Amino acid sequence: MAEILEARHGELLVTWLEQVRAGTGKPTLKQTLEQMAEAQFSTQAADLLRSLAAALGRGEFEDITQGESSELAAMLRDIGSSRAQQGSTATETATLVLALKDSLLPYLQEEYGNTPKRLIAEFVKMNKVIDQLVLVIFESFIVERENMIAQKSRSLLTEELTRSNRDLEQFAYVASHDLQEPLRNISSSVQFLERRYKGQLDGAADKFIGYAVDGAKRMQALINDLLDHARVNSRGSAFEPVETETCLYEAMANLKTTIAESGAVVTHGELPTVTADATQLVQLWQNLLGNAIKFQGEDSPRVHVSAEKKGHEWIFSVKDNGIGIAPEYHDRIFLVFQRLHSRSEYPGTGIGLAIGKKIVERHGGRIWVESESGKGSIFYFTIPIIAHEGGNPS
Amino acid sequence: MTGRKPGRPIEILLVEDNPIDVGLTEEALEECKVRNNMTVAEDGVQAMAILRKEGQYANAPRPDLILLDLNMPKKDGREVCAEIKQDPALRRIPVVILTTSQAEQDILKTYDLGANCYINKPVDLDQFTHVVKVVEDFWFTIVTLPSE
Repeated sequence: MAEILEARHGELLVTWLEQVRAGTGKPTLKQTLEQMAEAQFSTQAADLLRSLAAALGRGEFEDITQGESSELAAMLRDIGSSRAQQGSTATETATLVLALKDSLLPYLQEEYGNTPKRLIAEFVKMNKVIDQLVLVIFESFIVERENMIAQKSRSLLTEELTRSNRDLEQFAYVASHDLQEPLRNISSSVQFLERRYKGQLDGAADKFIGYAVDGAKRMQALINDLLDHARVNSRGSAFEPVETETCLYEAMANLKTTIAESGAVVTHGELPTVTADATQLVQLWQNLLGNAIKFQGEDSPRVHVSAEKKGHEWIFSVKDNGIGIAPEYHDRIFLVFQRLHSRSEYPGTGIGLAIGKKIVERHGGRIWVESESGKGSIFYFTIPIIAHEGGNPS
Repeated sequence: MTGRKPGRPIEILLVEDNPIDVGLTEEALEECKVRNNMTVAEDGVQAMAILRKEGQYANAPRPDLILLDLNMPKKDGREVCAEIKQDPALRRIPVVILTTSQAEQDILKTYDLGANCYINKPVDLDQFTHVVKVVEDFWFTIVTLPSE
């Protein structure tokens, strides 16, 4: 509708309606519309109003669901929107539109005064049209109000969430960072004790010193992971065109030993260039590939990576023939420090996928899994397509 | 052969505020093939006083090698490194930065200030001991240290 009538045109109509209400000069709607048509309107608007005037002249009120009348309805919807934004009430605007009836009445009487039946019929039609228009105005006000409220609460919520997230991240970063020094002290001291006194004290001492050493090592790993998690945003680089295939190769190089030891075979389809943070993309591939290999089933791991363009995003998939994940855990695995298996079964702190999810979300995408226990898994993630990137595979 | 006169023990100045690291470094150096004496400064102020032989340190031996931590109270390792390398009387002494920091800016800055090398302290005890031994091996048996 914006191409046909601009806000100011709606303003003019409303001003006219206000004049009518105030009783200051009562030009007929027909004349006013013709005047509006002559003044600065787009051709389409002018045509619309002229034909509306002509229809009025012919005494033809169309149902507002048809043709030009629906465009008039849309125009009044726009008036409704802009007035809602300005804080007017639906009632005020509707009242102004209802005043249309008053001004049209003399015109009708003029035309059909000699044929009362016709006069009534046209009057009934006019009422129907105007009433429908009023309904449209109320409708548009409600929608506009709801949108404004939703937008306000969305932006307030977003603001609060952003602030809260930032605070949490900072806290996690500082906590992890400050925890490192005393942890290192404990770690070094306990390892020193182990080295110097192993076998010299009793068996219980050896055992418990061993527990302390292990505990310190695990805590170190957890803290490092927490730092990595916080750093996804704090140490992220600016986005630029990145070849996802190159990133995949780099991740595979980093996993060289793991791949060799497990006999894993990694294949891939054509992979595109996307707008992303290359370092983080390598991290993500490494994470997903690493998992695909780590959680292998009875056969040696076979992993296939592919990409598909859908609408405004690329959907990447990492498919494996591993142990799979039962559906009830599909959401949980992306949470921080969530593990589905004991440490003796599979190593790791359980933060890998949480970091992966954060990376994907930083890029504006989503990540999810399709899998069933014992039937392998397919991990999907999306990266939105940004206009300036190029070099997509042909 | 030019360089340090053989025979006397190597003098090492360890500038480190963490007593655990001091203890571990001391232990690692005790097992060293080459005889060495270790002096410890707990912070940058004490380190400079020792190097400049001020007050109670009038008879302090001149170090052949400085192991320098970065994060210390009163005066940190970055300042100490800068002061040493800008002082004509001291700048010949090799400075080995030994720190827990892995920050890129620390690495670049200390090399800019003239540190001879930068080493990140391993968390694992065995690796830490190994690093100290490698440092000892390199600087004492392979490198020619200045004679004065």
